[in-house]
Amino acid sequence: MSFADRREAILAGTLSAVDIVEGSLQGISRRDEQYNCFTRITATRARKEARHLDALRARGAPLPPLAGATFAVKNLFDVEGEVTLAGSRLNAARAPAARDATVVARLRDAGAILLGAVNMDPYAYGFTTENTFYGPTRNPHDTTRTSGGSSGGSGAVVAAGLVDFSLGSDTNGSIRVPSSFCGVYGLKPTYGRLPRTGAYPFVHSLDHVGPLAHDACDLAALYEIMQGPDAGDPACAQRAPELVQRELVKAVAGLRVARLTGYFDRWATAPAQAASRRAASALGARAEIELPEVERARAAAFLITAAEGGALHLPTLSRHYEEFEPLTRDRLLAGALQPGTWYLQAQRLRAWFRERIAQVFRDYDVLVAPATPFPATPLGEDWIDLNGQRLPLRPSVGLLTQPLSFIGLPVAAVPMREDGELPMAVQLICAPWREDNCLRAAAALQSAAVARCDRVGP
Amino acid sequence: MNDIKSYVVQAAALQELALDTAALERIATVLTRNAEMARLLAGFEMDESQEPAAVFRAAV
Repeated sequence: MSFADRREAILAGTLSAVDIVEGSLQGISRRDEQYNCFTRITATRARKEARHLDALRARGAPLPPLAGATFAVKNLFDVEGEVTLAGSRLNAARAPAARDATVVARLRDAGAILLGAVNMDPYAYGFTTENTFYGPTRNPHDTTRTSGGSSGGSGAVVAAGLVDFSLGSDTNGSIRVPSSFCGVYGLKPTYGRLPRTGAYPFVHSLDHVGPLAHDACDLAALYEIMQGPDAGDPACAQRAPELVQRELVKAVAGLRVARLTGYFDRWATAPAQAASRRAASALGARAEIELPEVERARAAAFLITAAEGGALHLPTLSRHYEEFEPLTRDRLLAGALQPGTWYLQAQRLRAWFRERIAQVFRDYDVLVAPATPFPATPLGEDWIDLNGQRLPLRPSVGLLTQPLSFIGLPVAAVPMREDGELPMAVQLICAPWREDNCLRAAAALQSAAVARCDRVGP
Repeated sequence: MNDIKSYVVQAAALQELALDTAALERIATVLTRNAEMARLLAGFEMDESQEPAAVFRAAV
């Protein structure tokens, strides 16, 4: 049911917000044990918000656009009265948040009902949501496999149909990877588009926030609502919200589409390459092109992440090393100890790469590439064979996403699935501030039934 | 790798990190991988005017 249909049903009295919430809470209680999505269920808040919506309807007041839509947030987003875990045991001792993160507040004001906070890799440094302290979040399509990360709870909770949508964050691929592994739609907007105020940071110069949902139209609606300047985030653009829902009907008319080859084929398995070919073909791609120096861009993203993430957590690591997540702490410390010249050279390459890719967007509007090299991997796996090379699994999951978020490009992750196979997503990559094109292409793939988002039923 | 281990021991001491030998070795293993990434960038020539980061502004 679309957001608009749900709102209409509440207005017509065929559905009540309270019934929606009670049904959702029962579903979570009955089914989440097998997935381990939720680290906190905000039932009291959800019931209060639902009663408020039903009261609005009872007195004939207008209902907000997302009335009755349920959602969950990665547990790095501040939720008023709740402790912001950011996937960490250490953060559990912190004081509860005084107010909602800006994007959570904007969704609440638009009538969306928060059902809780969901699991993630500790401090967002990971791609598999195998959290030593809160347990792994299992993939609803195959519970022996990971849900991706670091927003793994956000991907799984949507794929399982436990909520209508979720919020995640993406520093190097953490929205797009769970979208791919869990087979749901995701949007990583342009760097600076959506405010991060009240979202626990990882890498200030690379962090983004964005939605995961069951379809492209929902992504567009959520994206519209969360936009707008915010003084709390110095990187947030001073731009008025740009409306995109009305653009979706244009599909890909007039858009120049190309499929990315070279690096993006070299580090993708045959099924991932096939998914990008199917998507490119359906979008009428006119060319296959290679981007320059992608390997170096990925290396630079890797080093900036390590340095900034390491610097952020160094004070805590120096006092609480033993209590830190074992899968993360040595990587953060290695980053904190990197020579400064590595970081500066990486930042120089970032500016260089941005200039070169800007030239590509003079000729093309949408670039297509796989989101992950492979589908969801088994829990506990440390190594992967990728096209004849044995690689450490966890960092390799982000091979195809890292070079793009590195320069802040907007990307829609669109789920593709063949019968009998695990889902995998493609990335629809556009020029900065052109989320409208990402979402138009995503909607076109959805309309053509090339994209496929299967909700795992109870 | 031995050079990197020595570097990690010295750099950790400089940061006043009290870590046991096993932890220092694990960190050195990670830093060895990071060093491979850094090597990819070190040999890449860019114009000297290529700014390392956004230009600082004294007021916003």
